Amino acid sequence: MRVNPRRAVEDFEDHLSAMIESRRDAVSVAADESELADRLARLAEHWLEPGAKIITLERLSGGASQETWSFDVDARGSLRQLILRRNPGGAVKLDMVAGMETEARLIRLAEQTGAPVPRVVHVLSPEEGLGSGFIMERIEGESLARKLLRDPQYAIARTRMAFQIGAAAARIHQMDPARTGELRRATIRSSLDDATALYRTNGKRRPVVEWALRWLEANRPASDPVPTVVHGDLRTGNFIAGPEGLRAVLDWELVHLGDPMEDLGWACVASWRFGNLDKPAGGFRLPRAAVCRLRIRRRPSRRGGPSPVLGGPGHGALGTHLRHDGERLSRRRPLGGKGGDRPASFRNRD
Amino acid sequence: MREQPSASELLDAVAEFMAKELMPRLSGRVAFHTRIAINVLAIVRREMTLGPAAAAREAARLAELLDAEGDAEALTDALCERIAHGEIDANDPKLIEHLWATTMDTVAIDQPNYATYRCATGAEQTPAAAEKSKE
Repeated sequence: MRVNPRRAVEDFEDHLSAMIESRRDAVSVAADESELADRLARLAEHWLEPGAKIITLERLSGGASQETWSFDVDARGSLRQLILRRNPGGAVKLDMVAGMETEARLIRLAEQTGAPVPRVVHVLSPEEGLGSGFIMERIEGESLARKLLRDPQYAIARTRMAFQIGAAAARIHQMDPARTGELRRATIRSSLDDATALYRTNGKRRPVVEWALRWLEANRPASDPVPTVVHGDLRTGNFIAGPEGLRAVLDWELVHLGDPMEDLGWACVASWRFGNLDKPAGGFRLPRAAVCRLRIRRRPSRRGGPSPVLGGPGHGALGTHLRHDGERLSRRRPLGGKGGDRPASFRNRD
Repeated sequence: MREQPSASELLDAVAEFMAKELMPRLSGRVAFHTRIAINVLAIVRREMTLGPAAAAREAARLAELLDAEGDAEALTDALCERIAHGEIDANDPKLIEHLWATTMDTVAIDQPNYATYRCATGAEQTPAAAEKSKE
């Protein structure tokens, strides 16, 4: 093979998503790109101003559940750079996916709460003939993990991203659950049941997965925290950044109410470090102070103690988040990052 | 007698054609999906090369672990049942060894450059070891 293996691996998850997506594309997209352009043009005239023209329209890769298009509108000399997210209809919608209207609503709420998100400028209505979806402003920048984690032009961004991801998570987790409208609620119980059900539909049974499910059942927390808005897919690959750092958190399709630790745990999963195993915060370097705290907390403490309380004024940085995470994990077993370790053995819940 | 060129050599040739001849002429989504296709060919190639021996090792471990005979699929299902229903000690070293070895063989085919796998095989230092060697 003459393929760069590193590159291949870094995109593996995206590849799988795209493979699933591309099967659906064959049914839903191929025939109607010109139709989409026509309808977008009509919409732009109606919504922006008469004479507004679509100058470019390009299907973007990535994003497993929905279509994402990039397009530019020339509105009498002023250029609008926009993104269309839509479900053309007929596509399989997984139960976990929030749905386009909900996604748009939550992105707007996130903006009001101060989280870095693209501005939603229009929500599609059925008579516009584009399916369900919304249009948002296009934020320039890089989202590809391998570029953000390795290219020299993002060296400064890399020193800031862990903190900024933590700050963004804190903003998201401060969103008012009373203002979200209808939103899926995930509990520890339902998450475990959903994961089990998804695995069962896969057909083939695997002993290691059975073992993991049993471990999760034996080690699950006894109670759920106060329901909090959770992004649901907060991880490297879903961030847009520039050389100066984080610009926006994208891909809100899995947003739900649940345990905020879910976002932090997911951000730190080994897969999303893209090879930087020693950098738990999505492959980015931790702020120095956070590393010190993390080291101290890593020494195994046997005392149980109550679950850490999140949402206080001090939980801005992912480093601080990780400190909580470290406490929790030390009371159970570390799962990620220790590549050479054998699987953790069973222990009773504290 | 085996035919020349072998199936895996043919796969290599197709993958090389795609990488060297096709990729430079492609862009955007088609290039992206072509890269996926190249990766899929690599998985198929590893499956052909490593799959049979891995399957044989798995079957031998299963037979010993369950002290039973039968095809690997049936034994695997039986093992799954026993794990799910708590009928086997989850800390049994033989069980842990089987899960570990099976997982390692699977990743060797599916994603051998996965960083955690490379640490586990010693191809890459674990973060802890790297830190120690710095001191």
